[in-house]
Amino acid sequence: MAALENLKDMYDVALKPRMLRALLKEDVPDEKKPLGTPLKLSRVVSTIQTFKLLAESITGSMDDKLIERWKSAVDDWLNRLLFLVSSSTMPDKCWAAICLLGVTSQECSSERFLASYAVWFDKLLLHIQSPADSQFVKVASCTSISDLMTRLAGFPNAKKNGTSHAGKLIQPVLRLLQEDSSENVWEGALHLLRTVITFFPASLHRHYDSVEAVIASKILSGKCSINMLKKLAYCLALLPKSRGDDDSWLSMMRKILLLVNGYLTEIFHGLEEETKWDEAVRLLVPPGEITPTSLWGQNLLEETSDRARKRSKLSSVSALMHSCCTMLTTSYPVQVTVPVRSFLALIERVLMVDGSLPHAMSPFVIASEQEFICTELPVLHSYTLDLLTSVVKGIRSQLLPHAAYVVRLVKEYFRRCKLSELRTKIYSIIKMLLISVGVGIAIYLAQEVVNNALLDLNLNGDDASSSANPMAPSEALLQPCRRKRKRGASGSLEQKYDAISLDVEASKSHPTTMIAVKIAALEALEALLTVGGALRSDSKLSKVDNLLINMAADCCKGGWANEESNSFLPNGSTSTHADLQLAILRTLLASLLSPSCVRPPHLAQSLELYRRGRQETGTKLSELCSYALLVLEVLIHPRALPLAGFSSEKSSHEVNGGLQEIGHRSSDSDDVTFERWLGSCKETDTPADGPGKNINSKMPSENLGVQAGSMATKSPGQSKDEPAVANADVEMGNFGDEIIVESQQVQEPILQLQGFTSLKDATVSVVLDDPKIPELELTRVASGTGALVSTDKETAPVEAGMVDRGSEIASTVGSKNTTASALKETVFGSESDHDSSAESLPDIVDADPDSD
Amino acid sequence: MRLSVSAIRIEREMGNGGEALVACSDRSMGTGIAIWDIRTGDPLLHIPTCASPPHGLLCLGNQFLVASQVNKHGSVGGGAIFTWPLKKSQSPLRSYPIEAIGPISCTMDGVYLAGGAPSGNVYIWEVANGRLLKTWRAHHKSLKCMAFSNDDSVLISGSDDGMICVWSMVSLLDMENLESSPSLLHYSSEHRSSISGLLTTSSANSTFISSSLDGTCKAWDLVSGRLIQTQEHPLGITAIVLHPAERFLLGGSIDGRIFVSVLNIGLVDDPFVVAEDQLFVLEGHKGSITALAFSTLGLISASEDGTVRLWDAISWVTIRRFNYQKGAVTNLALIPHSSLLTSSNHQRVPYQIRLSLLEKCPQPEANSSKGTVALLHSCSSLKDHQTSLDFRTNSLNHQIFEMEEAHTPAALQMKLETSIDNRMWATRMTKHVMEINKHLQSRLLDLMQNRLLWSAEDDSPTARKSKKLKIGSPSLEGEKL
Repeated sequence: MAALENLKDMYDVALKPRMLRALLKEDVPDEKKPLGTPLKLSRVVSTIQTFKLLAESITGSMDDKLIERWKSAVDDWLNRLLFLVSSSTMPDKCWAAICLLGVTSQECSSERFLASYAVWFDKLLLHIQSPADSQFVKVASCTSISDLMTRLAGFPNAKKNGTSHAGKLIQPVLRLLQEDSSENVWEGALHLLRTVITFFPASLHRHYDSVEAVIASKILSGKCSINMLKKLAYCLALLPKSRGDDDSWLSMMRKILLLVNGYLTEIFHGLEEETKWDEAVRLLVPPGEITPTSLWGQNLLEETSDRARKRSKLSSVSALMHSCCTMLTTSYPVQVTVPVRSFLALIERVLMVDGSLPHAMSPFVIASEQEFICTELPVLHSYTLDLLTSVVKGIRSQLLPHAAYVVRLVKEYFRRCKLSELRTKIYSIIKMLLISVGVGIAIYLAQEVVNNALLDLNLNGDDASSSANPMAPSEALLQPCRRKRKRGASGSLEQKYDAISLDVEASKSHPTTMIAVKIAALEALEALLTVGGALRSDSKLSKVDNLLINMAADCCKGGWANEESNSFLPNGSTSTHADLQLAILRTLLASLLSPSCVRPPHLAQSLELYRRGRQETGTKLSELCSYALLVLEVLIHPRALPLAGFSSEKSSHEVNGGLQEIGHRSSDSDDVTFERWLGSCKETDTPADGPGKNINSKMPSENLGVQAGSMATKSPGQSKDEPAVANADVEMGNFGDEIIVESQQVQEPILQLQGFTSLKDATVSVVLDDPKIPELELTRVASGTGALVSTDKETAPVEAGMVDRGSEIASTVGSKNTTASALKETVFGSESDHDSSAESLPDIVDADPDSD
Repeated sequence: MRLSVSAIRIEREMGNGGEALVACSDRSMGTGIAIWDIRTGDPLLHIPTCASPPHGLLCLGNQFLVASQVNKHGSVGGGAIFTWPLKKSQSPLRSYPIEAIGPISCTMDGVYLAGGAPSGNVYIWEVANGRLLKTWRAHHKSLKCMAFSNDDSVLISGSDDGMICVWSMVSLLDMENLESSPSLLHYSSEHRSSISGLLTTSSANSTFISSSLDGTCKAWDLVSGRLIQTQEHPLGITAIVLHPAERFLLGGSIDGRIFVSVLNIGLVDDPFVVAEDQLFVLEGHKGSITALAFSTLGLISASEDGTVRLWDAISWVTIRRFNYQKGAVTNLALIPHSSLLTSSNHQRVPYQIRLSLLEKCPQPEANSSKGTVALLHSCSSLKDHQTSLDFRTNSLNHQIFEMEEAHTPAALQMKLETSIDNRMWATRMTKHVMEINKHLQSRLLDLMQNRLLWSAEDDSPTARKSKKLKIGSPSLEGEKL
């Protein structure tokens, strides 16, 4: 046993073997010690994972004794586990050991894993094979083997071994699926199967058909729960991946679609035209092939009047649709041919059935039959919409040839659909379409989205009526849609009347589905505004702005909703009032930012909202609000920033230099000059001002604009000294190369003075040069610029104006100045022989601080 | 400062592995395509037999070069579009559309290819299966230029007579009811001469810019077709490009000069104000500019004088000159250097674009039932791993919960088995204890016998009592167990 010297801290490596031993001693059962409460097990697992007790990670500084101690502790750990795993008399301990072995196979060191995974695998496999074991043991074995295989897949050189091992698993797993009766075991087995398909697809080759048959029969048996059906459907969808070729994907898809269409023909009998089945077959079965009469042991077309049978078929259809979704959206090793038209035909077929009877049919359908279909339809529609989502997601831009079709379909269904859960899905599909296809589809969808969103968002009155006769979300889904629609149509009159008397309190008591619809509508609007904001001129989109600001003001009037944690709800996915607020504010932001000809009329009000929202510390709302304020800044104070190279004053100077250079050379364009350009521009020289001044006056003024802009955008912190350097830099540029080198130390006025006097050509450095104004003046000017930065609301337009009006400002600015011009006058007096364009450069630069 | 700038530049290049410059001419089929390394200026590759009209060369998804071919003699009667896989440039795919194709354009993901003919017809193919999705009479005059909007949902085309048309892809490609909804969103004939360039800005999908030989560049609203801005230049503009940061618009002119002007679409709102933001002029080319492009190293310009120049985007000086030597350069394209390397290092391409021969004429509806070829991304094992771990934790917790609650048959069974096991253990232990007890009792009896024998010799009760206690205590312990 380890000596009990004190540890350094909780990170001390010496702690790990000791903790492992302690766990072994106290918490892990052995032959005699009972397991005690199973909760202990989760504590063991979490301790091992937190401290990485099994990692045996050896660093250079560890001494050999410690390494040895750790190794022996892990050895003991494994011995104990393996002993327990193979003992058949103590099922609970065996179960615990199997669970821990799974953890071990994930956590232990690579060397140890590679050395002994085969032994573990065999031990675990025994438990899957033996029919006598408790289902706990079986599930745990499946999970642990799956962990083991996952880890094994991480070693590329163990691929072959892994495949052969995985091959041994298929038969026992299938047997579990077929023979065992517990869903838990199925779940574990499916999980294992999924791991095998994902990581060792090659192992499945020999068993492909039998796996397919077992899973399909399971789905079609109608004995599984919805959760189970989804998992089965997922595995069925993964199956073609194990072969990884175009054909097996397509043939699986064909089978599924044929079966779904066949079942639907039966279920919808009397509610749709008879031709649908033939149409589906025409699209699915290649010409020249015979339509199979049965698939996976199921007849494609048969008459059933048994309600239970129909219900089970409906759930099979849902599951198979889920398979389609998975196949469309998960990755596949090669490109496949997607039967898009079959999908769309199927989707249209289902969505267009609303329980009403075509005229010719009505006498043949029994009322109870119709009622049955009506109750089941919403669920079916919901799955179909999921399928549509997956189609759009899966084939992306290749949807374009079918986009118009989808648009028509969505519009038509939107017109009919009255159930809020389905509307939520439609909105999300529209959102996806808008974002993926872009402005081209926004043209067709804008009107639809706006009209429907206005309807859904204005629904206060309808909410009241629906809360008056309370309707749980689940009931809402199951309610026959025809009745609901009638009510919705009649309710529209009173809704406007009621809307006035309602206030925020009422909206807080919305059923969650209502909130979900509203959020979905807002999100669709947001997508529309983002993508097709340019459409706003010719649509109702402007109405939306008003609606949004009203909603925002309305819902924020009563304070911000709490983002209460949903720890009491198992899935935590219900949308709350806080989510609604968030969605409103986000959509409002999109409406403010989307392109328009005039400044958004509600800008001030919105800003106020965002400013208030930002104070809600620690909420998503405050994150959104601070982001909104940042983004809106650009809208309020538009900036046309100069292209300042890489945000240094030096490079902005380079641009200037380059410009003047080019202007200077506009007369001669020799190839010889390139070499000089290459050389000279590297050193950022600027030409002597002689020819440079003679260019048209537009150029320097433009340069100035650039220069002034770059200063204005510097952060206040920097502006203390950087603009000064920038000024000096530009100014010095006019003197020539030798001073440029020194201009890095601009702060020394003496140097400036020397440069100035030696050249007798001062245009700019007047401020620096004046004997009475040392550095102090420099910093004053600089700080003036700093002030300017902080209030650049006013300066931005001013600068723009300066750029536009060009040189005339340059001449007037001088006279407007008070302090700076006074300083300059002395210099100007002495050196009056500068032409205006050269003067304009310093004037404007200096004038900036005073111009506000 | 200089140093840091170049350091950033080098970093950028490392980021995408450098670029290669592709150029070709329209003189004759013999001239072919030349490819240079931009950074070093070394020629990388020469692809023979290619002569493309302006806007007739593009790079499809960084995997293929596509070039429409000029057909000067017209003897064949049809046109030609050649496609070279960048990795295997010696085996091109040769498609022969029904008429000669001039400008071509492809969507950003390389799914659709549009080509315009001198007759005014436009063709749209789906690249993956070569299907000709749509062909229609778009213009009265020869097509000069085409571009897709940023989201690939709108096609813009410009023709010889200065007409610009904006088409909605959604209704163009509408398979079901042809000609029901108008696919022409709007058109304009503001330009007085042939359109020479079209490009879309990246801002919110809503603006595009056109250039024309009449010497103007115009900015338009994509959706409404409203003219936003006009820039006038002294000469006809033959090519335009946007600075990557979209601060400048660069226009190449007929005489070889390149005008750089500031682009501020957002601020200027009056279409009749002609912006005079022309900043400066790049000079050097001796012939008309034919194409402009931006690489990470700077501006690239191609000219009819047979040269391609690389300009520094900050100082605006020529850094390098590439001589094409075989005549006027008509087309430029930039491709990542890495796409030329044959994939010897087992590097998997994120997805491989499938390519088929482009069809001559649209197929009847029956055949189109074979569906769309969709790309599904390759898998990421990381995510699978994560879900697997999640499942483990969930499953474990679920089982523990069940065990604790013991409300399922299986848990009950487990409990039962455990308690049976416990019971058996207890029985075993009891038996064991009883055995020990018996044994001890017999020992005790023996002992007492001995004592009795001894006590006959000497009688000492205290010692006997203590002995008895000693023997008694272990048996007590045994029972406790």
